[in-house]
Amino acid sequence: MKPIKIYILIVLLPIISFSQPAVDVPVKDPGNLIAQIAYFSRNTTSITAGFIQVKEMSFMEETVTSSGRFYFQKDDKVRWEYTEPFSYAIIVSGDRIRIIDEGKQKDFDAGSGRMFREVSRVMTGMVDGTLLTDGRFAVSWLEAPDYYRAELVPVSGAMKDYLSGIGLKLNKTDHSVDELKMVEKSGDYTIITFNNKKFNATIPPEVFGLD
Amino acid sequence: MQRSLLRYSAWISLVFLAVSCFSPRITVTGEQPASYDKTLQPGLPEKIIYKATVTLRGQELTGRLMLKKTDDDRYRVAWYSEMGMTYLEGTMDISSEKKTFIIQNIIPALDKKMFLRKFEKSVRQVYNDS
Repeated sequence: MKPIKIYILIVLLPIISFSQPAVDVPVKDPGNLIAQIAYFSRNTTSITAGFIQVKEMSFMEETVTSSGRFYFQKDDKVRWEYTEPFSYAIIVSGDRIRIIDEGKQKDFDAGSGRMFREVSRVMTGMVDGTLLTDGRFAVSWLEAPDYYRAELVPVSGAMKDYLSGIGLKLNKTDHSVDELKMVEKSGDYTIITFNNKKFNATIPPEVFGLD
Repeated sequence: MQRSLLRYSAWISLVFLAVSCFSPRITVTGEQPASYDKTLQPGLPEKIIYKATVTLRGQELTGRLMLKKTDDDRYRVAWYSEMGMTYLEGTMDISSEKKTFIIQNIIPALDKKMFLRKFEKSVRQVYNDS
């Protein structure tokens, strides 16, 4: 081998080595990790965050990007709001649900029909942490130097017909969700990346106001 | 336990639950294009995104309807929720009055002949009116 080729190889080898993507490995002690997440949850009364949503559509050969704000207030208040490129928000407060679509709002009562009873059940499961324990998902835990990753595979219920899985990347410092990946049956996926997260900050009541 | 994960993931599931509970009785409406990319041929847009609402027995399912022109003058069609869930995808000849909708991908709850017939008719009407 000529000296110049050896030189290039020496220079590039470390770069090539370090540029390899990190390989996720199974979490050695999932029970301990789950306990840490539970501790984080117990000590979190509110979350505010921005998010960027990127949807990959292979058939359409398109990538659709949107963004907005996410609010959570214990025990049962959530606001998921898109601000770009359209205005759309879902607000849940207890048994009541409001959808605001381009300024037009519609209210729903969870007791008014089967659909909203199901929605209410999911919301309750979300807040009290029973959603994963009701048998709908098989969960596996992986980790890389910068994050933990939970792979949720639906095993029963309606979601099994629509989703191949949900991937969640968790911050190793505070155990909050940095990224959510939703994989559809077709193989298309949507990635939601959260940013500017704030915990336990006071959220104005009007954010969840349904009156 | 694991509440922080569920706070996010459960929101995604709301869309599926909503869809799974609907009956196939429907009406379809469209609104103004959210974006409009002109092509070299006037009147034949390369890509349009509509805001679309489907009403099933009084319950509304909202989302975005994208039409994208292909090389053979057909359109690829995708209807998906604001939260990223694809309801259906397929191809359609917008200019033809005949049934031309070929489904590529559709969620089981919407895979009904009556729904697809009305959906195709509504897409064609909205497109021609815009």
